[in-house]
Amino acid sequence: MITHPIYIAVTAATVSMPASIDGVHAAGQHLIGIALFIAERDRWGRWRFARRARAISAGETEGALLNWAAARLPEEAMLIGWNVDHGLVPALLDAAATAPPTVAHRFLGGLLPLLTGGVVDMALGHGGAGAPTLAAIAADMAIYAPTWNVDATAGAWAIGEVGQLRRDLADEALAIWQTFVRSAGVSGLGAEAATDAWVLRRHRMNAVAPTDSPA
Amino acid sequence: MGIWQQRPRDDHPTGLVVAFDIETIVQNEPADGSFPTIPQHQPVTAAFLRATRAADGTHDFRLDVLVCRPGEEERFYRKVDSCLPAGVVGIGWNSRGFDLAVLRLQAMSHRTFGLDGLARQAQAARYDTTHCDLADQFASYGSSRTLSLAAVCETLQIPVKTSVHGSDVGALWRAGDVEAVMRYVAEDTIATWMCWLHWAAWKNADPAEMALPLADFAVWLQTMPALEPFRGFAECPPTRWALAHAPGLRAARASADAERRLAHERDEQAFAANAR
Repeated sequence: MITHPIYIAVTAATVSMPASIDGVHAAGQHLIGIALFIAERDRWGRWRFARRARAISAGETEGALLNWAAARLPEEAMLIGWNVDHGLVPALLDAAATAPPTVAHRFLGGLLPLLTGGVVDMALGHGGAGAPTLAAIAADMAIYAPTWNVDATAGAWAIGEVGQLRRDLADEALAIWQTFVRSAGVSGLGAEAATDAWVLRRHRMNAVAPTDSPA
Repeated sequence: MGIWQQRPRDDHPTGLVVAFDIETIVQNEPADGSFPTIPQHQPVTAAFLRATRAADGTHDFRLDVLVCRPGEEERFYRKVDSCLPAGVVGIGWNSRGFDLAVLRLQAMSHRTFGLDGLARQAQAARYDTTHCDLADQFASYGSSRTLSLAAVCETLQIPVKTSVHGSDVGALWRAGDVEAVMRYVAEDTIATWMCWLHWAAWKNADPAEMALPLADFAVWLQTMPALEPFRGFAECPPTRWALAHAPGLRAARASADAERRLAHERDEQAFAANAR
């Protein structure tokens, strides 16, 4: 059921980090990208959308990513994700645990209200932690979601070529929202039509070549 | 009031628990349909679900399902004993009145002694922290009528006894369907543990006592192929509740930690400023 005025689909990307040779740091994950898709319905039932994504390169801190996200999280919304408790939240909390206290405090201050009172985990209906990938589930609904290649992602992060990573994250956040509204059945029809129109408008905008570029 | 007048503590620790259950057969069922007496019961299966909370707050699980075939009784009781090591809180349903009493008597009858773990549970006092008989807890130590596990599970929406029923165990065992009996005892054990989580969250007034272990348990069930028969427990209403609320509870703990780190940093800055 689509009942909330604001929804936020959140996704994140991580790379695996081996333990340090001196044993000081245990093996773990390193947060390298976050994407947010915010859907807001006004009092007349019209939808507005915003899609934001950021990815960092090797050498940049997770704190920079958390700072970026903290500035963009809505004060109140229903959070939607894929494997929220098993995948998304540990990645975000691990990053916050090692970020500077001011950054962690600000980020968690924004995240906590979104996680309190219940979240929507789209993976639960497909086997939870044992579910197929979002891309596979979305494909069954004729919705595009990127497939992730661990080596390609780590490579892009390592050499700083994060443009594709950022686009994939943004597409995944959109796909989470699209699978959510599709799963909502009749109550999601209006949101789905509005989302499709928004995506189409953005494609057209991107299709217009800048005036100083060759035809 | 002197200390001898106080009731011993029964605040069971929640960090390391073993929920267990047994299934038994009876050679000659009473003709009047009454429940057979303790000495008539012979254990045929037992299941033990161990839940361990690590220092970082995550939970590890282990499920042992044991079978007691004729001639293997001593080995069975020694395995039972190894599943109840020192330091764990044993959890059962009417376990003080049935499971432990049956195990104790049958272990004695097979001259199997030196079972420290089983003895610790079987000899635990009613008010202590070694063993928690949930049937006794839910009945407020006898203040109300004892509830059945099935009735409580139905109320809590825990999907128990979906495959067979207790009265089927004897027939299934004699027909050689050991798998069905093993699955049945494992289901009851998981259900008992889920009742325990409700109890722990209620008694400690802390939803994290239920949400966090149950959310971790769901991941364990969903990612271990051997546990596929029990995945219904990962999709039932209590687990869905846990999965919806665990992220917020984890974030609240992380937020409290960040706040503590921030206060510490500010204290150090203030101290450095004053020292100049």
